[in-house]
Amino acid sequence: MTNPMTQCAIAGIGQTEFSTNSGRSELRVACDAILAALADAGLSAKDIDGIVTYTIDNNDEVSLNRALGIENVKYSVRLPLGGGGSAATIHHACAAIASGAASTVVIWRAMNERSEYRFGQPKEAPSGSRINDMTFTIWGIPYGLQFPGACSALGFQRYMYKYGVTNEDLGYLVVQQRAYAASNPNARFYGKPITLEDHQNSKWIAEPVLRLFDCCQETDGGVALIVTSRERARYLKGEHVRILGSAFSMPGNVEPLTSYYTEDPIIMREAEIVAGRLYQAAGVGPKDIDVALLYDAFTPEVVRQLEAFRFCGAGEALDFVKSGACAIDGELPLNTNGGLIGEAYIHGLNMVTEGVRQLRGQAANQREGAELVMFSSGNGAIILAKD
Amino acid sequence: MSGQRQSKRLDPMSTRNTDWFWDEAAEGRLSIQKCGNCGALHHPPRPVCPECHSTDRIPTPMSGRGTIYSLIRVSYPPPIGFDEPPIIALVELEEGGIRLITNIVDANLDEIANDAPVVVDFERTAKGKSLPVFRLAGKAGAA
Repeated sequence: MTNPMTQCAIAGIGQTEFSTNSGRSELRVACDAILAALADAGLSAKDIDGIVTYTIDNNDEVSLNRALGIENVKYSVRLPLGGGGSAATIHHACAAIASGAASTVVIWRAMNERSEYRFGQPKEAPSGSRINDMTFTIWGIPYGLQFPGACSALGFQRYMYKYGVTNEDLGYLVVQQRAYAASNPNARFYGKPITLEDHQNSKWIAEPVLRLFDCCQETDGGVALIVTSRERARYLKGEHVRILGSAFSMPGNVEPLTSYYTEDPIIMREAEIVAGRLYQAAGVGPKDIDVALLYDAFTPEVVRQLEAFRFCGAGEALDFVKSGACAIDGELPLNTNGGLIGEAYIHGLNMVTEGVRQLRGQAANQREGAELVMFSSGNGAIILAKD
Repeated sequence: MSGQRQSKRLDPMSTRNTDWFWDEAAEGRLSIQKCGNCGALHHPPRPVCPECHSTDRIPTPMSGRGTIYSLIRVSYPPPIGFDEPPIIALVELEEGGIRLITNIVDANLDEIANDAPVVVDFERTAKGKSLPVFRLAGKAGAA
């Protein structure tokens, strides 16, 4: 019997410009991104019956519906885990469609995280949706662990010690991603490639792990996606891509960037579990993937996902990158839009638009003949396919 | 232990599940939650034992000795509450299975290594709360 979770599609993608100052409200940014996605799919706001986002977005659902004239919502969920939950929005949209709970789901992320507040700066106290008993807010702040980059670095330093790698090794990954960004007109760093020397000259954020160029940069902007059934997508205007598989996991004691209390914090346990579920759902393995898009708020997270999804063995990810495997004609083109580090930090959803563009043959850095694209945000992942 | 040196640090956030941890530190104790029913140690504190679901939580003093699991020095953007970039570490307690986010104080980054032995000390925040911190074992000033 066909798994109904594999019978959905992304029928439209939309985005705003990515900038340091959008010049308009976050709600307006959300509306602009969603309207662009609806136009791409050939749908109207009246067709939407499911709305999905994930924590940290400041736009509330009622205001969004009111602004866009969305009147028939039957399904809505706001996933936990911040950006770690970004890929899982698609998994939940598929679940809603497969079950009949909704037929047309919009997923969005829209923030002015650079111009209205500085998302990645040190925090004196948690705010908004981060007020729960999170590791970094309760246990980190008095010790100076006050922003996400430091959280990523603290766990990863043990990996560096165990496998004998350095920040310079991480630099090869950044040079590759910034090369992709340099030829992507959408990117914050369009036309601005860097050398390994530039990377090594960028200031320390958390020595000996992270320099400035290892970190994504806060971005104003929005992205939206329209998910519906494959069957329906065939009759819509936009060129849809199939969601061949999707998965989600929340293992005990695991938290994005601060999984310090697990048996082995070096391992990205949530991504290992997601990998098993994802490959099984999609009926493919790591060797079949043409392009990988791995959530790269900070370079260490890419290393951990390359290994969790078995693109290489434990401790081998940085040698893999250094070998040139992640170039456009390499074994595994990686973060081909420049990633969150090079294109924009839209908390993962701009990796999905890149995946769709790769399959439509419209990517700025196109992998010739790409048929299968994976996107992981750690706690969730999807495989997209031509249909 | 020398204990309770003044600093400019921020207070930890106050919650009903965690306040006792800092109260213990104010008394010069590094205590970890022990289940009054099954005896399991858990950190960070939580209202219920995840093994047996008992709500009987006993703050239990540890030896204060451990080793450095990982460490970083955070310099930019400058963390709030510090004059110098703090060295932040995960310390594994010798009782086993417990890791703490903490600072290594009175040491330079280049003299600290993974797995180095450390001992607990305490510092007060700007507003007078108390925090467990660690220093290198055997270094002057250590207990």
